Amino acid sequence: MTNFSATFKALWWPKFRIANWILGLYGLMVVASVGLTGFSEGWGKVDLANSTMGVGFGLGTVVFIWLAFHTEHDLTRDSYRLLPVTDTRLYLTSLLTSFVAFGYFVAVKALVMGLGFLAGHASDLHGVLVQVWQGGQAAMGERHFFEMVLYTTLFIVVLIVWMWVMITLIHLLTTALSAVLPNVQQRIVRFILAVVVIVALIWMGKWLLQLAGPIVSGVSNNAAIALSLGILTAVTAVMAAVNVYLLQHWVEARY
Amino acid sequence: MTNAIEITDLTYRKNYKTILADVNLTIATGRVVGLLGENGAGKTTLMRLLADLAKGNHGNIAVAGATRGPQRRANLSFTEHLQGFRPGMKLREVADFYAAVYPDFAAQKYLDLITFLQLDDDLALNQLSRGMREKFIIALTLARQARVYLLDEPFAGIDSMSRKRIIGSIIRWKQPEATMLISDHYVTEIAPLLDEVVVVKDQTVVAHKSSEAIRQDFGIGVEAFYEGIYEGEIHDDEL
Repeated sequence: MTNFSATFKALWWPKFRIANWILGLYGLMVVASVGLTGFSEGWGKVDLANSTMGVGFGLGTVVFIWLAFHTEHDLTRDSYRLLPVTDTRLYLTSLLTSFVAFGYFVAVKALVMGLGFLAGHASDLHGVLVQVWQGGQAAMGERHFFEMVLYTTLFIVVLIVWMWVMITLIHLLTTALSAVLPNVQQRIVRFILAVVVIVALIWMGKWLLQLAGPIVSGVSNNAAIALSLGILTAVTAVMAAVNVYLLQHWVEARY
Repeated sequence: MTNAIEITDLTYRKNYKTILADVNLTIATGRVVGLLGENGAGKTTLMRLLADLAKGNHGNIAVAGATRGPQRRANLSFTEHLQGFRPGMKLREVADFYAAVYPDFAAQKYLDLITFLQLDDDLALNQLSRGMREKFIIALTLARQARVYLLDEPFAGIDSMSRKRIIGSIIRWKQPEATMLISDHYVTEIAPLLDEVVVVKDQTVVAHKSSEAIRQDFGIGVEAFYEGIYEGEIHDDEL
């Protein structure tokens, strides 16, 4: 049997490569921005903070989608389904590697942006941080501000995982259904399934917005926020369990 | 001694179509077995069911005594089509993946195999011809020290020299205690390798005989036996 460490490494490298590809693209965009400013306005006008923060919008979404695509790819290819591991381990490791790769991308990009800011505005850093902290405290109080930062971070983390789990659920459900229905009816069922999934997504999106509302508006009812987070986490866990069940009993690998 | 493969009352349906029905098959350890049948007979499906890659079957499957999917996969080495790897990936990177995830992968055996099969593992997957790709798949599959090997049509669409090399590698690198199931519908070249023959027809296993018994009972070779079953010259009551 393959242990967790070996499974993680096997699933991690292709995703690490994806994150590095996009980081490389981001690096090129920063260099292009610096070069453009330098050549057109003079090198004295180059502001690394502007160059690092002003480019690369949407790259996080590209990484997210690419990782999601790769996860679905892993789950339906012989190369990975043949591994002597349980479907639970395969699925959770795949999800974890996607998350770690995404976190790595975000961390490196944030580091580059932070260094860019420090390069030109190091003296302002303390002032900016104090301003943010004091502004937050003034609006919510010290304890509430800290909790708000914590809950917002956790909410984003769970939301990202939920979206990947949801994508997998749609994919696996469609794949499983296509195997148990006649070819003639598959198209109809796939269409109906697509409609149901879209309606469900809209409904869940609306529900999530309601959950996010208190966090965004800074309502101090932390118990309600914690409950909302708990519900989202529980929903994600249930959906992940359904995904594992589908892998175990219904979804075959392509060949 | 535990049998290499034990299948009991196996039935598998997909898209409302029965692919395999009431399959019962027992294969002892250490044998080289030809899984023969025409295109679409269910040979690949049977192998995928053994590896727990096909889902939703009824009946029992055991590989070297293991019945659960992960344990079955740990006991067998299957010729996969390498579709999980990016086309630009080098062969040695794929081998590194295998070495990392399969504890029974023997690196030295792999190197011996690619040398014998005349493969350069510095090439990328998308630089391989069909024959080279098939040889590489064989090298990866045989480099594992598995108890059961499933070779699914290893000679499909490749030239005679490559076939001979592959057959040579099977003869040379099969451990005596390992069992090998080779599916194909071209019998001529693999016939001398086979200890036993399993013929799949009409969604089930219609014959399972040793090559020796075929020669003794029917006075013909494996290929003639297989063709006789498909062409109706050998009837069910004779099997």
